[in-house]
Amino acid sequence: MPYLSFTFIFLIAPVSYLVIGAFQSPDGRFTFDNMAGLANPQIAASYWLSIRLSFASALIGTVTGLLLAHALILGGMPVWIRRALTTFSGVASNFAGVPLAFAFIATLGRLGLVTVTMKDLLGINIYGMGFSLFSFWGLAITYLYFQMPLMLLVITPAIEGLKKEWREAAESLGASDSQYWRLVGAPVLAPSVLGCFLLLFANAFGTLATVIALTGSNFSVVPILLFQQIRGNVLYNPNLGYALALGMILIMSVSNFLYLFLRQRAERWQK
Amino acid sequence: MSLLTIRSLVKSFGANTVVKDFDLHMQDSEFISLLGPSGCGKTTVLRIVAGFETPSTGSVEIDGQNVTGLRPNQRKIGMMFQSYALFPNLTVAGNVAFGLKVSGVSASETTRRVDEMLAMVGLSGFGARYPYQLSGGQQQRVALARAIAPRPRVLLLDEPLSALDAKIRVALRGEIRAIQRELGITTLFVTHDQEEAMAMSDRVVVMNGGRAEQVGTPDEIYNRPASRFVAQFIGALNMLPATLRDAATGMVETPIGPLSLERSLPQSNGTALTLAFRPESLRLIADGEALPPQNFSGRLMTREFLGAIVRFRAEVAKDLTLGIDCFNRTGETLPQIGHEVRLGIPAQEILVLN
Amino acid sequence: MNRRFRIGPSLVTLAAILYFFVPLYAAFQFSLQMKRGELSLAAYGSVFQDGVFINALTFSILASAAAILFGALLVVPTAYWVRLRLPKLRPVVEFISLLPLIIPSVVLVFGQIRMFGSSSILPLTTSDWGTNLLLVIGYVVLSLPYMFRAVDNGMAAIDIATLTEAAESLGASRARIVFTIIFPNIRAAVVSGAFLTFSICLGEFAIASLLNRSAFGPYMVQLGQDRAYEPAALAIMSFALTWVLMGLMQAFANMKPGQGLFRLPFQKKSPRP
Ligand SMILES: Nc1ncnc2c1ncn2[C@@H]1O[C@H](COP(=O)(O)OP(=O)(O)O)[C@@H](O)[C@H]1O
Ligand SMILES: [Mg+2]
Repeated sequence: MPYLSFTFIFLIAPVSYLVIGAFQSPDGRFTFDNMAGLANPQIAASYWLSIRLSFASALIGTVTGLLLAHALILGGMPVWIRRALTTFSGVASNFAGVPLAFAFIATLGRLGLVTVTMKDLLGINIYGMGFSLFSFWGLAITYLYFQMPLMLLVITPAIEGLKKEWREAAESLGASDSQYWRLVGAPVLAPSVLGCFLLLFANAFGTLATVIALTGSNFSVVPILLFQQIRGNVLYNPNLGYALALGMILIMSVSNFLYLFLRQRAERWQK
Repeated sequence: MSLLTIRSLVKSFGANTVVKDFDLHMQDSEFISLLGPSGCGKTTVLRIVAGFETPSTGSVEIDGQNVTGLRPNQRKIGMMFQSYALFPNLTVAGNVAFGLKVSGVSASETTRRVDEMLAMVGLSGFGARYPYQLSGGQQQRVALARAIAPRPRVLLLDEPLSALDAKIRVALRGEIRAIQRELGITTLFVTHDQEEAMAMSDRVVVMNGGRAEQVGTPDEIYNRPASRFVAQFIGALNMLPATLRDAATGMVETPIGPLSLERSLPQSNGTALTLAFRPESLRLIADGEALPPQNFSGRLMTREFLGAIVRFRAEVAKDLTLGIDCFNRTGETLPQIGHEVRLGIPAQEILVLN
Repeated sequence: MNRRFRIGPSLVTLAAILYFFVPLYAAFQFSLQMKRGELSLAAYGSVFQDGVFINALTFSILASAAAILFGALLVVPTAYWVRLRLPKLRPVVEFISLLPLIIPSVVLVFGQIRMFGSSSILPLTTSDWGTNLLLVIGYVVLSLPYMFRAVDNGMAAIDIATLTEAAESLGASRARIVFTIIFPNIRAAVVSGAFLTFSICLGEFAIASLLNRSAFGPYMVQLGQDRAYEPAALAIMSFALTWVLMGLMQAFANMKPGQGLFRLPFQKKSPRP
C-alpha cells in the first residue's frame, strides 16, 4: 500500500531514526547519556523557557478565548457579530508565522503604531517601562493572535453543548447563577477547557517561524535551539540533538493525546 | 383560594402574540393538562409560570403570593423537560440532591430524602450511576425525583413523555400520576397527546392559538365540547351540514334526509348548522331489528380491524362519508365492504356546532 | 432567558475586535509610509519589483502545488480503499495521518535530513532536485492531517460502497472507478483540502530554510531583517491571501458532491457519444 510505504519512509522512519539516535552514543552504542544531557544548563533553560512561554500563551489564550466564546454564545451578542468573529478566527488561527510577526512589529515594535500612540498621546513609554515585543511577554501577546481564535473555534461546540435546559432545571430547583456555574456549567466544561488548553500549549510549543521572524535566533526556545543545532551543530553532538527532538515529540504527544482523551470524555457527556 | 392562579395572561414576542388572555385557577393537589396542537402556546404558559418568560401583561400567583416578578429560583417550583435535562456531571443521587444542596439542607437530611425519592420512582440502588448510563425512561424518572425532592409548591411538566417509547410512555404516565396523588402536589402538565391528557388529568385545558378554548374534566371535554375546535381536536368526529327547519322541535334538513334533534334550539329557522357526532355514537342496525327514530342508510366503503374496535366508513350521500366504530364482540358478525346498511343515532348524542 | 443588552459580554467582544483589528490596521498604516511625509503604495511596488520576491513566490507556489497533487494522489485512493475494503486498518491510517500534528516540522525535517543525507542509501539532499523533492515530501507530510480529514469527510458524504458496486456491475476496473467515479464525486472535498494545504505550505519556514531552498518563507524572514516597510506590506497581502484561501476552502467544503466546480448551473453536461 503506497500510503503506508510513503508514511513509513518519510515520516515514521526519520522520526524513529531520531528516537533511536537519542539513545545511542556517537559510535553507535546504547546509552542514556543523551537523555541525561538534556539536563545541561543551556538545554534545560531552553525547555524551561519554552514550557513557560507555551504555558503562559496557552493560559492567556484559553482564558480570553473562553471569555470571548462565552460573550458571543451566551452573552446575547447579535448573530452577525458572532458569525463575523468566527469566520475571522478561522483565518486568524491559520495566520501564524512570519507575516504575523511583521504585523506585530508594526504594532508593538519600537516604532509600532500602539507604541508610538501611547507615547505621544498618553505619555506612556512602554519600552521605557521594560516591555519589548522581542521578549517573553511580547511573544506571548503575539501568539495570542492565533491562540485566542483557535480557542474560540475549538471550545465553541462545548459551550453550545451546554443545554439551556440544564440552566433552567438548576434555576427551577432554586440555584443561583453562580451555583449553576459552580455545580454544573464549570464541571461540564472543565474537560473541554483543559483539553483545549493542552492543544494550545502544544500549538505554542511547536511555534518556530513567528519567533525567528520576531527575534532572529536570539530567543532560545526549544524549536530555535533545535533549528540552530541542525544548522550548525551548536551542541557539538548530533545525538544530543536527537534527544532534544525526542523531548519535543514527547511533550507534544502528551499534550495532544491528553487533548484527544479529554475531548472524548467531554463528548460522552454531551450526547 | 386556589393554589395556582393565572390571571389575564398575555405574551407577545415582537408582533407575534402567542398567549392571549389566559386564565386558570388550579386547586391544591390538582392535576391539570394543557392540551393543544404544536405552537399553540402551551410551553409559553408553562414557562411564564416557571419564571423563564415574563408575561407582557397579567399575573401569576402561587399560594396567594404574587410571583410575577420573582426569578425562577425564588418560586419553589419543580420542572421536568422533554429532554430530561439531567446534569451530566452529577450522579443520579447528585442530581436528586441538587435542589436540596443549593437550598442548604443538611447532608444527612439530603441523603435520607434522596433515598426516599429514588425509592419512590423505583430506582433504589441507582444512586451512583451517571445519567449516560441510564435508559430514557430511567432518566426521566430521575428527573421526576429531582423535581419533587425539594417539595415544590407546583410541579411543571413540559411534554416529559414525548421522547420515550410508546410502552414506557404509558407505564411512566401511570407512575407520575400515582406519585402526584400520593404527594398531593399541584401539577401543570403540557402535552399535545390527547390520550395522555385525558388519561392523567383532573381537568384539561384545551388551547388553540394562545387561548384556552375550554377548561373541563376529560368527560366534559369529550362529551360536551364547547367549541368546534375542541370537538374536532379531541377524538374522531363526523360532521354533517344541516339547515334548521323548526327551532322549537329541533327539526333539521340534512343531505341524508330530515332529522329530529328532539330539543329546541336557540338559532332561528333557516340557519345553516353543522351537526357533529362521534363514530361510536353511530350504530349498525341488524336486519329485523326495530328502527330507532333517527336512521338512514349507507354503503360500507372501508373496514379497519383495530382489535377491540372495527372502524367502518360508510357513504351516506354523494361525497359524504361517515366513520362508524363498532365493538368487536365474538359471535357477532359485522358486515363486509360493499354492503348496504342501516345506521341509527340517538338524538341527544348529536352536537350542534355553529 | 431574557436577551437583554449586557455590559460584560459587549466589552469582551469589543476588546477582542480591537485586539484583532489593531495589528492589521497598524501593518496597513505602516506599509503606506515608505515615502516620507506622504501615504503611498510604494512598499507594495517595491515588493513586486524585487526579482527575488517573484522567484521565491513562484518556487513556493510550485512546491505547494506539487505537494497538493502528490498528497491527493496518495490520500484519495487510500481513504477510498480503507473505507471500502479495509475498515480494520482505519485506526492505523487515521492515526498516522494525525502524527504530523504531534511531530513539529523542525523535528520532521531533522529526521529526513539525517536519513536522506549524503551518507545514506537514498542521498536526496546531495542533489538539487532531490532536495526539492524532499521539500515537497515534507509538505505532503505536513498537510496529511488536513488532506486526509477533508477527503475522508467527503467520502463519508457519498455512499462509496454502492457507487463502487454499481460501477463494478457495469464492468469498470478498479483504477477506472477511483478516477472516473470516486474522484469527481469528492472533488469539492479534495479542493477544500488543497486550499488548506496551500495556505500552510506557501509561507512555510522551517523545512524550506533547513533544506536551504529559496522559498517564500525564508525570503520573508530575510526581508524582515533587511527592510522596514516591505514586511508590513507583505503581512497585509498574506493576510488577504489567507482570507481568500480560507474562504475558498469553506465554500468547497460545504459544496455538495456532484455540484459543479467551475461549471455554471445552466450548462448541461455534454451527452456521451
Ligand atoms: N423565545 C421566543 N421568541 C419568539 N417566538 C417564540 C419564542 N418562544 C416561542 N415562540 C413562538 O410562540 C409560539 C408558541 O410556542 P410554544 O409555547 O412553544 O408552543 P407549544 O409548546 O404549544 O408547541 C410558537 O409560534 C413559537 O414560535
Ligand atoms: Mg412545547
